[in-house]
Amino acid sequence: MSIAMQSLMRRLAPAAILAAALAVSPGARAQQYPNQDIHFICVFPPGSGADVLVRYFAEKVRPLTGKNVIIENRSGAGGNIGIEYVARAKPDGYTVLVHGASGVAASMSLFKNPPVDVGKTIQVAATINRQPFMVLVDAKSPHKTLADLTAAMKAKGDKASYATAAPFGTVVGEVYKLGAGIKAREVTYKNAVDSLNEQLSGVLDYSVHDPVYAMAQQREGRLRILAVSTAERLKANPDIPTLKEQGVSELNMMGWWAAMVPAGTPQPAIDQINKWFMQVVGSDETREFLAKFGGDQLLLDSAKGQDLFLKEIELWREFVKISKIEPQG
Amino acid sequence: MFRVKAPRDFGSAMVIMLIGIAGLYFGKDLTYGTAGRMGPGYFPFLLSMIIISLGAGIGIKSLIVEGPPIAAPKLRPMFFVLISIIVFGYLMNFEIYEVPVGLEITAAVLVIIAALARPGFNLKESAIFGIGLSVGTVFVFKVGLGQPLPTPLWDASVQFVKSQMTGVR
Amino acid sequence: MDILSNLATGFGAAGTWANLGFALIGCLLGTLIGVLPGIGPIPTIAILLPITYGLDPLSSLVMLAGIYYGAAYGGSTTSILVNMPGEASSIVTCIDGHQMAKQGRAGAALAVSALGSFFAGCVGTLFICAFAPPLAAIAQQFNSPDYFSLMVLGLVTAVVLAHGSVVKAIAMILIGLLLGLVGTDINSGATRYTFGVSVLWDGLDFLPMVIGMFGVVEIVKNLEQPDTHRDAITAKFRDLWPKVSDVKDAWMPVIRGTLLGSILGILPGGGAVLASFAAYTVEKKMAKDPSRFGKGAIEGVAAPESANNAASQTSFIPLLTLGLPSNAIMALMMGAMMIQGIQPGSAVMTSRPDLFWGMVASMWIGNLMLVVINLPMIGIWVKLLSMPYRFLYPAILLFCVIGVYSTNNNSVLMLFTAGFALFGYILLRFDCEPAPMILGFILGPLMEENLRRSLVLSRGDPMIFLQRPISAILLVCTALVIALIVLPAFRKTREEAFQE
Repeated sequence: MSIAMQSLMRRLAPAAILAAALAVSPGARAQQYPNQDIHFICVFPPGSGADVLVRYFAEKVRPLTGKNVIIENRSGAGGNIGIEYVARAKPDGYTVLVHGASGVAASMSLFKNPPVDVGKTIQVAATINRQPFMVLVDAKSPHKTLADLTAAMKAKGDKASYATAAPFGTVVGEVYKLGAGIKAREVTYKNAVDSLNEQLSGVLDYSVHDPVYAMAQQREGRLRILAVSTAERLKANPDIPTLKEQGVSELNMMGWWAAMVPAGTPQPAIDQINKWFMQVVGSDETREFLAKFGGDQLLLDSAKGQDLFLKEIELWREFVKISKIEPQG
Repeated sequence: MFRVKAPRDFGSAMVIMLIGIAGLYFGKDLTYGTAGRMGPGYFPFLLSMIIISLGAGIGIKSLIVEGPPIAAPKLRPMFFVLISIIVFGYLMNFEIYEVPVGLEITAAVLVIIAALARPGFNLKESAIFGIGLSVGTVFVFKVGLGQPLPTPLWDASVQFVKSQMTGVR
Repeated sequence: MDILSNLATGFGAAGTWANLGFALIGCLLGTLIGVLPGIGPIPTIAILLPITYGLDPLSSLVMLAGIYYGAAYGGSTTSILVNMPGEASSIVTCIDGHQMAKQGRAGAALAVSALGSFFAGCVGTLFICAFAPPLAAIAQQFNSPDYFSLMVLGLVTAVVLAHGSVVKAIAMILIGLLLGLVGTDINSGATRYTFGVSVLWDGLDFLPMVIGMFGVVEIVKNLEQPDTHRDAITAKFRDLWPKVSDVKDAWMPVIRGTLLGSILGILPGGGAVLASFAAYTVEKKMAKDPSRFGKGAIEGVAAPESANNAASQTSFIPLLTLGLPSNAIMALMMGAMMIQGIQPGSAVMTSRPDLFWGMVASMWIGNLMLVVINLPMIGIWVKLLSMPYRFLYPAILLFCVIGVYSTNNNSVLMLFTAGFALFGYILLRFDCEPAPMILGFILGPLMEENLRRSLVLSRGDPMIFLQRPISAILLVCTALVIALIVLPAFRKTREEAFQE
């Protein structure tokens, strides 16, 4: 028996050495950030529109870090799986959630039992962009301005229909209806593109969609953007008026992306991440890249970013109340 | 009295009806709505009802028309294959002192447990084969495809080799 | 001769040595990963996407096309050899393809599948050139009621698939529909059948389901048979090539499948899946002796394989002309294009003709390379099967499990895989077939979504399904298919009743 044990021990020796090597390395890691591969968490499946954005930033940030940047897709539960994963990850700066911070904030109000309190467990390290949702009509339609559309919808009463494909769209759609005093009925879609055929065939009077879709369809000459949901016009599309200008609403409904880390991540790591993203996001190339998706660069230091994030959580509670969205769960 | 004439059909009827009933029971809190504005419960209710009636139909037929008997299940293959899958999932997310168990050990464990599914289990052969496959999967999935799977032993070896090389320089 | 000059542009752009090299690499990688059991085209492309990031747009698209067709082809190889569909469109191939393999005709099945796919690929490419603009216009007319009717047609067609009881098949489809409802209801935001488990909020995952119900169950089924039995099967692999009679049997199904696939591929939603199911149904209905199906009929491989390849080809049409991805793979391709700064849509055709036609040409090149690479490799794939099963199955199981795990690195998926394996095993014991259930599962959510949306738009009036011409035509087709299914079945049961 003891001979067997000895031989077993001998066989296990290489493993023990490896284990020792592993045990030593964390100490070495603590010295300087970054000292190992950085993981960008994307809460959407590979190849999706949002995944494209995450991969773009991984490609651009990688050379600055001198380390590898690995993308991990943790999709599911409306993004909650990825958010929860990052919130519970080791706060060492090697797990970075690259995602819509507005979406993370919204999760607190969209779900009955959010898995984590994001305001306490997630920290914004760097901001990326800001983008509006957009009100769209068929390019062939006679409605050239939002006022035209509003007048026509008032006449049509509850026979009018419009499309949305995301909670954000529902919020903006509801705010527009309340502000303009119209009674159109919401038709929900899984993806914005699914609503295109129906919008072009005239079954839908208008739609409220994300800027990536909206900008692409306007470029292709199929749909026309009548208004954006942000309070100010964006540089990416300065010709499009805002809902606020048209007297529909005072609210600033803005989606924005950020690089986020678990709360408790050391400040030097946060500052480093902020520096990388400032450099990448601030470049002309990124400005053009973001403009294609209908958004502007958003360059804030980590403290201001966190501030915006906490405000966004409160703002979403209000949005959900206004638009009577039933929390899930 | 009743006699089950077609056990396979009878069994499937039970499973089908069970699923239908589960569909009704767990969907009972969903709003039903109207045809013009269907609630989330409309479609599930409709489906569950049809499923139950189809199951009942198959069940009644199984009491009337003769059918083949159910082949006796062999428990060993199913049991060990299922266990190996579950253990794989468990070990992949298991950490010892913040070091994940990792793909290498987990893969070998899966192969060994799966090998138990066959009679004539040979620990030595399976262990060797498991280690071989484990190395193979690390190369295919980690090195070749760059999948973000935890591979502590591989990482440590790479680090070790790297440190040796810098040492020489 | 617009088509010719367009194609010339395309081949000029895609035919450079560098691009041919990328096509070759893409095909090799795609096949290699696609052949791994349990990993179909979708995970393969997702896994290999990062490799293309560093290339210029055309080279990357050329390589992607290679990966795409390679993965699809590799997927069919596993369907035939180990009875594991990597994705829905190769489920049908399993039915007869694997039977052929068991009879020692794996080589013939693989060769017919490769040649049929190549032929379908050529036709599909021509189809894109000639019909992209007008056909895109038809697809553009599809509204919610039309989609709903299309789904109904697809599901009814699926019933024919089952070679057992029609009633059981219908029940399985409905169970699939019910499972498809798990998750968040997009209309109301309410969650259904999630039991408070957040992983279920986006619905059940496809991969654990197919791997569990097809892959794992297949392994268990094989393990239950005594070793000698299996060795007897593997001993007979001699004829790697199809016989003259095989070719004679297969060429018409290939042509029919190709045409069917080319047309169905353009329709958004089902695409390759519907095409393969429909092609199989047509062959079974047209056969003089339908009972051969399910027992290794070569038509049952030739037609669906041609159909799904033609459909995967023509499903590029909505993406390239409208910028609408019609299925998950197209969504991936769209993502890949967007990474390269190309917004898919009609603008590509006019602003970057070299890119558009280069892509079309590269599809054909990809198909050609696959035949060239794979015909000589058939022997290797078949040899893989003669490996002792006690080594083969743990390896297959391991690759399957890692494939599932790596989709989102979540251990819960393993529990689902195990659960579905158990469920699939019980169904097997009771003579219920999982294939119709899978189709129901895929189409279920789409069907409900479109049904409810149609009725919201019509304010509750069901006549909308008959008022729209496309929808009405599809429903008439559905009625015809039902007639086809019910009448013979009705006759048969009556005969049985008479015999008693």
